[in-house]
Amino acid sequence: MALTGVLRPGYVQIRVMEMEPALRHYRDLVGLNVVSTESDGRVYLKTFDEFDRHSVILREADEPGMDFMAFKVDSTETLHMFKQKIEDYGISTEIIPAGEQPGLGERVRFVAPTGHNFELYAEIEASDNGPMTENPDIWEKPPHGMRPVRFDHCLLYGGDIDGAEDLFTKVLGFRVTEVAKAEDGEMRIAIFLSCSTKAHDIALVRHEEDNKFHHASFMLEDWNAIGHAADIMSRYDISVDIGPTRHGITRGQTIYFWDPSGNRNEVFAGGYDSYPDHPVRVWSADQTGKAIFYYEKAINETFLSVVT
Amino acid sequence: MEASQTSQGFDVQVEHSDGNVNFFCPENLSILAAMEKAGLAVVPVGCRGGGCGICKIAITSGEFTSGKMSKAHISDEDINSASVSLACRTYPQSSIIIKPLGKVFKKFQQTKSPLKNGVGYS
Repeated sequence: MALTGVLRPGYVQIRVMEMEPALRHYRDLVGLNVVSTESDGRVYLKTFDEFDRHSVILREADEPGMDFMAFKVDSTETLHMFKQKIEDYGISTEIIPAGEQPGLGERVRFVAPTGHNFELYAEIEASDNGPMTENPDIWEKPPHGMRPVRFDHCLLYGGDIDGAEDLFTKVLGFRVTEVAKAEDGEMRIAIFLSCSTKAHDIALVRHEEDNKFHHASFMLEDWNAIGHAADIMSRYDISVDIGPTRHGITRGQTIYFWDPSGNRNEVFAGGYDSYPDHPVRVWSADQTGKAIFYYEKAINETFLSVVT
Repeated sequence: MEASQTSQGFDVQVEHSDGNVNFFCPENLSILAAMEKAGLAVVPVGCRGGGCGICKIAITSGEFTSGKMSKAHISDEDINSASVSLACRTYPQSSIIIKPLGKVFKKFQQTKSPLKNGVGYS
């Protein structure tokens, strides 16, 4: 097996201020399927095309934002190995026992230098509503809403993104695929990291405040699906940030929009594949407009200022 | 129906250093939605969901009701004193005078934060 260690983003827990409008958004319009609603009020969701039990958890709270993002690792042995490596590196970890979330095994939680909570886990129940595996049709039932294929990545804002890059690359086996640099030509203002052959599995932007959530992203099938998602956003008056457009960085075709509590979502399609032997792609400060929004060639104020 | 009832709503005045701006806020529209409808950009527009705090305003005078807003930006005291609110969740109940307070970044942050961890970091 060539892909080992950290496999991919697994789930994200998002805080919403009111559950009913949030469900109308994530379930009816984005098009996730509700897996379960638990006695603590948390709602578990997934896309039609994910094998594992859930990928998005909504929790009602007084302020929006991200509670944590988790990565699935290849085995329980690997999970324990990473726990030790993170501690040896100087960051404390916490074990969250199996079953704190339904269907989910033991988790290792730690706080990254940007202030964000991350988790690693190896075991999660398979969905009883996952993609077919025998003579597999493209789907069992037609997907609804924006037809998201998978929860794909998050972009997070915080102060010490250099420290987070160091942790993700040296301890967790990620590699940097692309960076945007500051005016001094050295300092990184945005870092894109991959644990797979995707252009990014996690992205970080330098910000004055720690532990801020820029967006959770859902992959769609193609550019036509992005157009369909835009139609849904107009028809149902979803608050749109920007798009449809394209990122220079990753080359993803994209729309940024907000959930009813002000958490930003992205739907995206396309982008390049990355491999460990590929060089890092670099954007200079005078080209950051094009790097972020390739067609507009300018960053909007909301990209820099609006986080939860 | 009388003509006055078809145009129910309240006047909003935005205090700005380079001159005040007025617009009409129809009933049941938030101040921010009414401003966008009027084609103005005197209060910064963010998530429109009470979450990001960009459209934070001081209420100089006037009555209003408000919807759910993030505690990270609007505290219980803010709500009780009725002096600060988020324009996207603020519904005038009289003529109202407001002042934008939200923080907007025009460029990426260019200063490094201190390294928080650093074992093995050079």
